[in-house]
Amino acid sequence: MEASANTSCSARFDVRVHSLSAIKKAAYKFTHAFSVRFETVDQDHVIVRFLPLQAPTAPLDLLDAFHNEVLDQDLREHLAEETKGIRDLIIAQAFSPISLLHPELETEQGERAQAYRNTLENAPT
Amino acid sequence: MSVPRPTGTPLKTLPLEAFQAPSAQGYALLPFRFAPIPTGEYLLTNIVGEYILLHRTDLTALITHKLPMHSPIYDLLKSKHFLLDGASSVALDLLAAKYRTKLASLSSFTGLHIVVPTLRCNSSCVYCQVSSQSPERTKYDMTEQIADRVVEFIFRSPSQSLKVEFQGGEPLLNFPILQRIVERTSQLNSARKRDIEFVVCTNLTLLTQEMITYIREHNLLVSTSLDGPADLHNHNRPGRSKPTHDTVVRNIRMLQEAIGLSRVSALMTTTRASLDQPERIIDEYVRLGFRSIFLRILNPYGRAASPDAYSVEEWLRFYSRALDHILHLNYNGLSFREEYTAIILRKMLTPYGTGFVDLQSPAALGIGVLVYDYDGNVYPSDESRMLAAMGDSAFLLGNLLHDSYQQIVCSDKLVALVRDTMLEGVPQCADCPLLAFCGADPVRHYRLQGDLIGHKPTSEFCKKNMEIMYGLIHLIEHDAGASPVLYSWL
Amino acid sequence: MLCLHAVSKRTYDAPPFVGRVTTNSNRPAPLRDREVLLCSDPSSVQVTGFRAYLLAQHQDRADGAVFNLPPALSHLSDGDVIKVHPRAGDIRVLYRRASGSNTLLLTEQCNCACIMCCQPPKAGDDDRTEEVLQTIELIHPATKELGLSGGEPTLYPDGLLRVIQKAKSYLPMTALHLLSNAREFKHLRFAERLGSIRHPDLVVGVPIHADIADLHDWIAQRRGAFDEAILGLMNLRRCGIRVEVRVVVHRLNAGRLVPLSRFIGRNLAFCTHIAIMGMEVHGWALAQRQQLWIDPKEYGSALREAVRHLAFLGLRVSIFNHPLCVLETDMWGFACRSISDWKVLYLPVCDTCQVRHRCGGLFATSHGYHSAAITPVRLQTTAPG
Repeated sequence: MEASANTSCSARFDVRVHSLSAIKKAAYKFTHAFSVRFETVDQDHVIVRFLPLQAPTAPLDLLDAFHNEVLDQDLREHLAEETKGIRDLIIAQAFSPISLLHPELETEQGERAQAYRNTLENAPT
Repeated sequence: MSVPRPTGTPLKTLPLEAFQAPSAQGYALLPFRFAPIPTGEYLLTNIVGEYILLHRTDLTALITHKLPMHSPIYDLLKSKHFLLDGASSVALDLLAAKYRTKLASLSSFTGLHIVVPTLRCNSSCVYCQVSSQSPERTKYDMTEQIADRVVEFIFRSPSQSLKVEFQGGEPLLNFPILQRIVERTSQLNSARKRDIEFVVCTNLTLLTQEMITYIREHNLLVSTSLDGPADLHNHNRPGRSKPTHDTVVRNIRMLQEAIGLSRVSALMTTTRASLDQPERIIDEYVRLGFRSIFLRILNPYGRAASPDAYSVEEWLRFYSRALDHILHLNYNGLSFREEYTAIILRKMLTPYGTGFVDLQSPAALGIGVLVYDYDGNVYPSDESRMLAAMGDSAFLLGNLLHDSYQQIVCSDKLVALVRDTMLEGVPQCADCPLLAFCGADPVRHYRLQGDLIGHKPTSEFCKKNMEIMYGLIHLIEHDAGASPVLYSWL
Repeated sequence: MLCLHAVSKRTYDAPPFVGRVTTNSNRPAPLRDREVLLCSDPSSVQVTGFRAYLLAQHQDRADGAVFNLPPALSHLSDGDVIKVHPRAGDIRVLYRRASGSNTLLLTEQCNCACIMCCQPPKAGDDDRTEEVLQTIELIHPATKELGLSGGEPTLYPDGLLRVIQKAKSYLPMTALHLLSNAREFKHLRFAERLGSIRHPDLVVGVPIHADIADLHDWIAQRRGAFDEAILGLMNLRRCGIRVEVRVVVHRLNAGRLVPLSRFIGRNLAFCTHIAIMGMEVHGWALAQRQQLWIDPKEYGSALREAVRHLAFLGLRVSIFNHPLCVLETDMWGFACRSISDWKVLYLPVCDTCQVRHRCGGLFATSHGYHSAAITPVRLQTTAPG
């Protein structure tokens, strides 16, 4: 990270360590005060440059905050990856009239449940 | 106690460890969102808005599966449905049920129907959002034919609970149409058997004894605007010919006598002049027997969108002082609450969602509220009507006189509007832990930022809600005096 | 404390039966076959037609179906229902007309083994459905409320459903309170069958020991108990049956009262009532008292916070089995006189207590385990003028 003599400042990232999407999402949060530029250095490295929209704020504070935000976005990506399936299951169950989680406890519910399952299987994708 | 205690043989019981998932098995994460808050801690919320505050080290440990199992923090996270382990999976069933509960209003569909009997008004409030017309111009009145179509439309909604809200202009200026709608709705309802509530939103300057009797006999609720004590109220809300405060206060008192304190409510709109006087405004409400106030920021429509507007930071300072003053009223024995805060608290602390239009995702446009203008035009929210009054009909859905219910409510335009602005799919909102408490406000973002989703880092709506919500969490968690007061507002 | 079970020295040879007690020797003939005459005066000793006769010590009767009234059962009166084993002289009171807290036992077996169980389960097949059905036929129809309990009453599902249907038919004005761990209601079909009876006033009271499964399962001593109880509660709700959550508080879960109240407020808000209950130190609770017993004063502030939390959320919450003197005064409105009349106790110090008449007292069955803070209350009076 560096603060240059003019008012912009920049940070350099290795995209093998932090995904590009994490870096971009983190940068988005600062666009209320900065214009953000991405520059590709090489296949594995990118520079993020912040240009203040108005009077310059303390660049080092910004870079600390930005770096933390990139780390947070990394964590969010891990979390989203791990919980996507469970999230879909919860929401499907929320709107299902029968149990998707414990079908074995509802085996005696009769034709209605079976008919519904049939429509799910036959639904066009 | 000196009663001799008989000895009993302790039974062989299995220890706690026999019922805990072994550490080697680890735990699974449940979906949640998180962000740092001003105090430096992190706020985590799950998909139904249950929350916890954690230090960053614990958050990182949690996500990277390094949090020690069965520690106090672990148990709390498990109890609040942020993780689960081999001992139990019922969290999934519960989360599904809770998610469904939060979104229950979706399945009832349009519950709020706003009706504009006339655009005429006898006032000229400095922030008027609808460019109202002077009292003589009756071409701005809703006709009987349109009124009857309004009633038809209201009953097309499948919702068991219906609220019909009269706005304007000044609804009392077209009282016969208001009466027609109330009576036709009530008549039809004897067969339909819905739960219907009527609210008249009025400046109360034109109230007559006959109207009071009518309001009482038909169980109407009344909502009025009271911006504060006389000097402030008259500054914000001058009548076309004379100051209004005295009349409004007198009429409030008469109505309260006639229909009860709980059936007359008031809200205030904040102007630059109000910013420095939150305490005086609230005290005026207390003086008049109100037990609640709705603190409203200026909406960016109509005359409100003027250079005399103020920044959201200024309003938040006003809100903070107001909330503080209200809390102190409560500490000293008066049950008084702020309505916007109470709505947010209900989202945060209870399993239920809200019917409040501005704090819903998917946005309540059309699916939660419909607005029927005096000329038969139908809008998906009051804000979209105000925008149309400024000349931008981007959100007009159709007209009662020549469009069917299907055409108006099931249009692709409306579906796209609601679907594409859902917070779950929007940059920054998708990651924000406050998503569970917040709402999509496409019309406001369109007006202020030029697009339906808006740019959240510069959005005043976002800034306002973030600061209020983080502030409330801070009070609930760290202020032992404020917390029970806030809970009492649920 | 009232005795509900005693043995008569006199016996006779006949099968067991359920009968209603009467002191009226002129009862209509068709009723006598299901009634036991409590012989109060010499003339009644000679009437005929009753199923059996309970005689005071000095009385006698030629006919064989005779018992001595054991002194412990001298409280028996008209309308009470008893189970009699003539060959053993065993008399058990199943229902007392004068009591506000009658509970019928459906089985003594249980599919849990709660550490603090005050009426420990017994092994062995004991389907008491027939006994309960017969009892219901004899219970007075003006009875306000009837409990159904065990053991675990859902272990004989068909029997339970017959009992509830019977109660609906014979006692339509009587509220039913079924105590169950709800595990068997994880089977939706069972909950549906119960719901389809459409009993006019049924509440299922379900114990939840903690907000997390490991602790609940540990206290219930059964893996999966928590999950099944919650699924059962959800199914009962789905089938339109009212449910109540019951929390027995002791040393193992007192520390989690506030998280539990928060959990209930979020996940079980559909419950019609929440009862936070003091522990009866009897049975296994007595045996395990070293790890279970806690003076209620110790968890007083957690109790208060939990109750206030639930009350702010608009949920109906009551405090059971706690005397008023160990509660903060703003909790008194939540306290109930919940201890069954036949096992309630007041201490000698309670004689001077100004709120004794409002207080639910203590468990006579708790072997002396009461709060060290039991003390007569003197009400604050404001100065006149």
